[in-house]
Amino acid sequence: MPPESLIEAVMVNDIASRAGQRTRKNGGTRLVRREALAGYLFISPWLVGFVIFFIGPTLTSFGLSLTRFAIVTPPVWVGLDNYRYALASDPLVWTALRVTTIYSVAHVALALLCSFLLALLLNQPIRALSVFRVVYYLPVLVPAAASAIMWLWAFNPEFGLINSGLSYLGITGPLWLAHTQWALPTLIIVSLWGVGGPMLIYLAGFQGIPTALYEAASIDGANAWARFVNITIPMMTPVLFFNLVLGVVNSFQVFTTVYLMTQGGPGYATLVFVLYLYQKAFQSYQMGYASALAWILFVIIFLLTLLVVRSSDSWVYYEGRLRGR
Amino acid sequence: MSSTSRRTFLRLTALLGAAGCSSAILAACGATPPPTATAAPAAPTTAPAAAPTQAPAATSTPAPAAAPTQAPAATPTSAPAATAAPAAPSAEVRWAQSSLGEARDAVQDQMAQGFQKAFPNVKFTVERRPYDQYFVKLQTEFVAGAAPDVSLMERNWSVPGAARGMLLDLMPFVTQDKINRDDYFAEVFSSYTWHGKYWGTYLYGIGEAYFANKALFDKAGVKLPAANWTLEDLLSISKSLTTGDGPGKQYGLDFGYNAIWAGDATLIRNFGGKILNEQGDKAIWADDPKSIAAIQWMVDTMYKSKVAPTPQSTQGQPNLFISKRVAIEENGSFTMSQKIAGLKDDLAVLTTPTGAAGNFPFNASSSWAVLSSTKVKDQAWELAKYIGLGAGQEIVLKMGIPGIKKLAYGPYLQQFPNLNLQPVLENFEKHGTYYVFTPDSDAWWNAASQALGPMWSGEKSVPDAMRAAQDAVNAVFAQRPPELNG
Repeated sequence: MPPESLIEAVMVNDIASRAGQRTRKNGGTRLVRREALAGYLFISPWLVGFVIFFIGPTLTSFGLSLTRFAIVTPPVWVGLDNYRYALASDPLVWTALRVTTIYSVAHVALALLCSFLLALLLNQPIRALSVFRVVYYLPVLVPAAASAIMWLWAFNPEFGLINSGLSYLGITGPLWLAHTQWALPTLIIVSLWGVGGPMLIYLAGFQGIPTALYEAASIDGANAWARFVNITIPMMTPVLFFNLVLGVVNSFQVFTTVYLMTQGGPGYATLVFVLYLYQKAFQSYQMGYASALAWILFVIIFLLTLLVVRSSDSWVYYEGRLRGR
Repeated sequence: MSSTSRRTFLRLTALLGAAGCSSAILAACGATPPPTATAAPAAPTTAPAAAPTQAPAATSTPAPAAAPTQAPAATPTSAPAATAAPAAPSAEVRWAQSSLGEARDAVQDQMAQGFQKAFPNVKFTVERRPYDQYFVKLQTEFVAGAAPDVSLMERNWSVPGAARGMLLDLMPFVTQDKINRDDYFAEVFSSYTWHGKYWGTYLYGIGEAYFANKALFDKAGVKLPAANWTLEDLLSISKSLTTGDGPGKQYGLDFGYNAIWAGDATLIRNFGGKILNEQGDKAIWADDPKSIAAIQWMVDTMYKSKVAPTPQSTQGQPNLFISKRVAIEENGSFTMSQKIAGLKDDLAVLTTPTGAAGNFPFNASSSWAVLSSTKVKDQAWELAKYIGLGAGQEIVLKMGIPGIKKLAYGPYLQQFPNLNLQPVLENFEKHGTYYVFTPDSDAWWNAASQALGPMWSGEKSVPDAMRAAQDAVNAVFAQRPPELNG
């Protein structure tokens, strides 16, 4: 930026700041009010959409959660009964929570690890790097329905590719999705098919680490492991944090793969929370109860996200921020 | 020339943008026109094959009590719905269909053209919607006061819809029009009757049958069974037709239709058992030795005699019967066109085998319901009658078994000269049955299927799994809101 532009910018900033102070002190000048109005008008399409399509349905769903509502018949006020029934009397809610928690813990941990290691490999100066990056990202672009059908075929216990392969090694493969003990682990394995997404974010993070840090460390005698532990990992913690938050939020809302591959079975072994919510809403037509389940899930995800965010102070390193601030 | 300042320009742009977006959003939230409404074909180019002699003998014309001025002129005929036309043009009838492939869409188009030709004074529009979430969307439209007048209705939607007051009872129209029920298969009326009322006319039958690959029979030197074959015959033949092992194994039998509401239910009935009590509000099968014996028989074909693949083996696989890896498949007649395409002259269609208590093949159909919100009841009934009980059945026989017996035994059978379907149709007529539907059918089927899952994988014994399924189904019934009891 040329010096004169810089001075101009500082002056404009100063004027705006003073104008802001005057506004706060005197209730606002005409100019500031008009500019504020113009600003609100500019963002009003988004605001109107946000209120109508997000805030409105959100508040409506909370209202519905306090009723017994079967779409066609008028809602009947039941107070907190839906919440009480869900948490105290409906065993499937706890089944769904247990299944979802196991899925989330395993999926998030494995996905973070696999995508991190994959990104690390794809950050190396090797031949045909772009091809590898595209290949590993490609599954993210495959529609969930198509990949679900492919995995169903692969995990078929009798004719599937995986058990056929295992049989060549003399191993009798399990029933995978058809067995209550194996169905959830199978879905977790399938979920790793989509690690290309976080991998790409890690890759961008790796490439954002200044090479000067590595050079300085090398000059100081740090070996590869020391550089990885003391430079790469700390510098990547903001990206790790981002992927962790997204992973937790998304994994607790897993639906499509489970819906397409197991429908929650066998014997509710893969009944994830959102699938149960869906069944209550669109198979049992219990919209009030389903709304209550949605709010329970919202609270769970909110608390978990809060926990992750709060914990970030102790393990996420931001280059421009001092420790303890 | 007046100039506009940059600030004024931006302000005006923002104002216009905000106003435009707000009005668009408000318009979108307001009264919506019918979704993807397409005008009914005005000039029928392919009129339905008129076969009035094969139509039912319901000769009286509709005489709607509510709007006598719109009553069609009395024109006694052997194809009443095709020829009787209301005297005066009336409000538009909206007909909602689902899109289920080109062949069915073409048949629905022809039905629309046929109706328009028969009732030139009735204005109507066809709305073809995706099948996915069809019933949920229909409920939403109903609440919003924007529901169509006539709609596709599946069996598992019909009772929930009727229980919620969405549908119009068609029994008064049937009585009024003196429709002779003897002309129809019993299921045309019984499968859509709930609490003594009639909630929808017939689309086409999807009767349960056994499909056989004649080439595999010939190869094994096994003769096709006679129409009165039994479950013992089925097991014995299936053993003869099962060969090999591992991924290349050929199975004698596949329960392709083994859902709780079809194949399993048929087996249970053939064994003399029951799933629900008469009122349809309690599962009783785990307390019924005959029901347990039926399901045990089915499981034994998979794990004991190993003549049938387990459900998990067929998951995600191309159809084993069409792939010629299964010699006999139990399934609905709606799969017949696929099988003819796959096996050609090697296909044979067999009756369902008889059990200790008899033979009760599943036979039912989707339906055409009239929504209770309609303002044009009489015209809507005319449409539902035409397509479900009248001349529309002459067109629909290209897709499935028509509900009118004369059409089924006549032009329907004539389409398949190489398939001996006569005994199969006779079996439907004599013994065909449908399964009990409740206001929460989807929910309890899902609960039962979940609980039976570990039985199919061999993790649980049949009695234990059926007990779990019974408890799960009864838990669903216990949650049924009182307003859904009808």
